[in-house]
Amino acid sequence: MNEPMSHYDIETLSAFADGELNAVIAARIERHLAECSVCRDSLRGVRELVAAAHALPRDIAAPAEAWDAVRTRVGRVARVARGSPAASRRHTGSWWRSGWMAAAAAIVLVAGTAVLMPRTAGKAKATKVGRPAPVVVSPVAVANVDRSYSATLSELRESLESQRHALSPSTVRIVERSLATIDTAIAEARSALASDPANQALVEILSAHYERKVELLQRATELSSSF
Amino acid sequence: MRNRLLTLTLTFAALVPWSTAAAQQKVDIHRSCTPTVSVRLGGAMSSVKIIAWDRDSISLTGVLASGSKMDGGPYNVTGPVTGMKFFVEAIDETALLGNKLELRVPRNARVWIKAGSADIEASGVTGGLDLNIVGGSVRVNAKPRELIVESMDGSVTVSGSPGYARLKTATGDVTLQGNGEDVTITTVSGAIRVSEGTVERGRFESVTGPIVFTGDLPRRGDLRFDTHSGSIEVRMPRQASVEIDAATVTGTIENAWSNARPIAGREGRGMELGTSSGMGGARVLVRSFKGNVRLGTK
Repeated sequence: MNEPMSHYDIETLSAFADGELNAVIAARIERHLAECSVCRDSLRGVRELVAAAHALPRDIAAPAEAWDAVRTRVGRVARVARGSPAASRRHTGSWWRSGWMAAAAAIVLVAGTAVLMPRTAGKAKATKVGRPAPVVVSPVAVANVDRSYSATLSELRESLESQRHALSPSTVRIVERSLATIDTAIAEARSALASDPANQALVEILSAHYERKVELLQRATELSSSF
Repeated sequence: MRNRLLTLTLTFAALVPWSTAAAQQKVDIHRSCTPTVSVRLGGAMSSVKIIAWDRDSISLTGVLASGSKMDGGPYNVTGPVTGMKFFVEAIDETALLGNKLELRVPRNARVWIKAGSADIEASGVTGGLDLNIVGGSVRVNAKPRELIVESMDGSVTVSGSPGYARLKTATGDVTLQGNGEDVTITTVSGAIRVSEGTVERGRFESVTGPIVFTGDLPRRGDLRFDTHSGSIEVRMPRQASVEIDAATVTGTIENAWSNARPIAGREGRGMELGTSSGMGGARVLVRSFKGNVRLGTK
């Protein structure tokens, strides 16, 4: 099947994902999607972002300078609104239609903080021993850690369950006991994060536990497939 | 004519999988091989000894219990063997216990073993070792360039100087006595003990297992210890040139290595410690969720 040469832009696909387009245009896009893997991938990305945006907490503590920027922007919109109602609608409409983009930007900001801060914090600590600067980690970052491993873990679990009969009962006991140990550690790290969501070290610990669980399941699956 | 027949017979023997299925049988296979031959041995064995020697030949000897059989053979039928692969099957646990093999290979060989519950011993190999067991034990006394050991509840003991080592267990203990350039030891609940050697780059991780390090630190050493609830004990020479960064989320830190005192962690929970000595050439990073950390001298 030949891929179409032209593709829909993200705005249109997001409107499609939100069900904001009329039936004729939506049908046209659906036909295009059936043939275009590029747009299907883009739409999948949009839907994932929307889902992630829905998972955002109701309030994310934004830095003070961010609020300054928002206030400036609101002031500008208000001034435009006073001069031109149509312009005002255009501005506000665009703002709301791109609401998921703002949410996505917030996710990127938060995830970026989660990814980048440990290194900078680590460096700071290495040169000047003491308490690292507090790092803001949103529960979204924690949810992202969970989400990034959940699919792999389910697949491995499923694979192990289907091959469990190939393992000796003693091996199954060892694997289950070790998985329980890791699960307990995961639960403790998550619980600690719930009461201290800004603790980047806990996010790292949680990720490490997930890594170990994935590794253990992989090894168990390999064992079951080779004996 | 007689010589030709012998050649044909040998060729045929090399082509046809070697197998035994009768009563207890003696295994006795000898082949010339390349110095970097690759040998794979898997299946139901209770004991495997790998011994490196200064010959370009392979020798696989031992006994198989009644009801066991072994299939396999060399990868190539002409010239020195570049690779061999064998698989051992046992009809039951009793038969498995009777399957004991000894493998002699050139020092630079690469050996891959995968067994259920077995005691594996390797000595003298400078090539590569990839050993995988569920239970039993692995003992390596060698300086392999690459050493990979995976075990579920089998213990792992390495006395030697692996260049690159990756040792993993679920519940089995891991002991490293010797030097290592790039070492990672990972366990869920086994104990990790590192002693009597210098580790240049090391990463030691457990979930609940204790970690004890009493090895030496080279000038540019880089060691990292991670645990969830296991204890971590790091003992170094007092004059070691090292920078230490330790933190626990809820555990304690005791420092008997220097005069630095740990401080309370975030929100008054856990502890943190930063201390260094000399030029601080080596780096030690310790992270624990609730395991207690102790720094001491040796």
